[in-house]
Amino acid sequence: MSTTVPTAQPIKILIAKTGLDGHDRGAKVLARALMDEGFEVIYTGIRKTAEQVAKIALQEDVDVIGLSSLSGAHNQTFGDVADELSKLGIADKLLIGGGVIPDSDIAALKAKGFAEIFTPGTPIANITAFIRLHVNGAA
Amino acid sequence: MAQHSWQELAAGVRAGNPLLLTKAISLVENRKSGHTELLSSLYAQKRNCPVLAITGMPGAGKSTLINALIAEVVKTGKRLAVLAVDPTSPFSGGAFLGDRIRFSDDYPTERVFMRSFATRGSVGGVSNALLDILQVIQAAPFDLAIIETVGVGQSEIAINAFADAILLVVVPEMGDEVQILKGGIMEIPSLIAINKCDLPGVPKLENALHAFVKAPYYKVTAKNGTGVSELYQAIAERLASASPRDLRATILANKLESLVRELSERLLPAADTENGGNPYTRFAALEARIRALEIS
Repeated sequence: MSTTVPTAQPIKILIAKTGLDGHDRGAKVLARALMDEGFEVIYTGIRKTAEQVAKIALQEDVDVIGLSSLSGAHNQTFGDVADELSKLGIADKLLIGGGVIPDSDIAALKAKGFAEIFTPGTPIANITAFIRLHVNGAA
Repeated sequence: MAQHSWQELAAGVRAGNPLLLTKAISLVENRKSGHTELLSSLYAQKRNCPVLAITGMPGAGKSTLINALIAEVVKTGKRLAVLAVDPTSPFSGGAFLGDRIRFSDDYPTERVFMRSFATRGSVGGVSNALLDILQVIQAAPFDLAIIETVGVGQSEIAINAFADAILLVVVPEMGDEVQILKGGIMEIPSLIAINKCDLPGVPKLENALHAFVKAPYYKVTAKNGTGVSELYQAIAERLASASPRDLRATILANKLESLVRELSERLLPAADTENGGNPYTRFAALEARIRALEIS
């Protein structure tokens, strides 16, 4: 097995969970799948505030921010993160979300800056293809 | 996305602008256009920022210990940069950068700046770009830099080049005296922390370290903070007494190695076809031409 550096620059993605949502299996499964697809994944762990998530996104200079919510608080928590990203001047990063989110909530989330919301059953390949398409200079 | 010139990034780094700092680090990590000029400019204006490297086997509790040490550093008013390195998968080229999970992220970026890195094909627990990234950090307004390296266990020698002090984190039941006698990782640290002291086996480990290892050891339980302020005191004393390191030869050697590796890969296809694919014959021809260039 070659130990040379991969020629394409890996895409950096932050997977974050905010609020009091402790259901983190989905986030971890996604993080692992993205790693297997060649992404560099930073996972925040659970119970981060929107402010902390934005701060981490800035420090890590990620290309993508992916929020996970399985507890139903997404309309509040996802919006808060979008606001904090704007405050730090990094609203240009690709922002996506996923989890237990009713289809009827998706339009409002997109209006807040989410490029896409991925609900349960979405093939991982759809998510990685979407990210690669939307990140500038992606392989 | 607005692109910044390397000059803007250099000014931003020196001013401590967090967004420009992280963009500068990305420019350097990804070897983008302007990164050599940026590094050259920042090198000329390096500040005094000692480097502590923290290493140890996976699961020893390095990240949890760093989180506890951060609280001690912040109490002193020092501004801290933390660089955490995790391995790139040799199979997928991706990485799970999981050190950040242990961090409480309670501090403003100006006090504590933290960034995660993947090794991206380097060996020895650090990434090839890390030395360059350190130059960026040391040109910014930080008083201390902590590097957390991949804990492969027995050969962290690469970090010798970077660090003013090296802290090795061990846990009880890590092995017997024979393990501790082995060369490599046990020889390089300036200090040792025995973490997870709430577990059995501490006296046995203490005896072995006392008998065979020169570096002083400190007992801690990172998850509840026991022993951490004493450890930090020892680290601070060690860093204060460290003489400034001249990294010029290390930096140059590091850059040349990367260049040679890149050239080898580019030249390899030709080695397949000439002289029946004999790499020694190929090298002899290249060596003759390179030496004839009289590079100095």
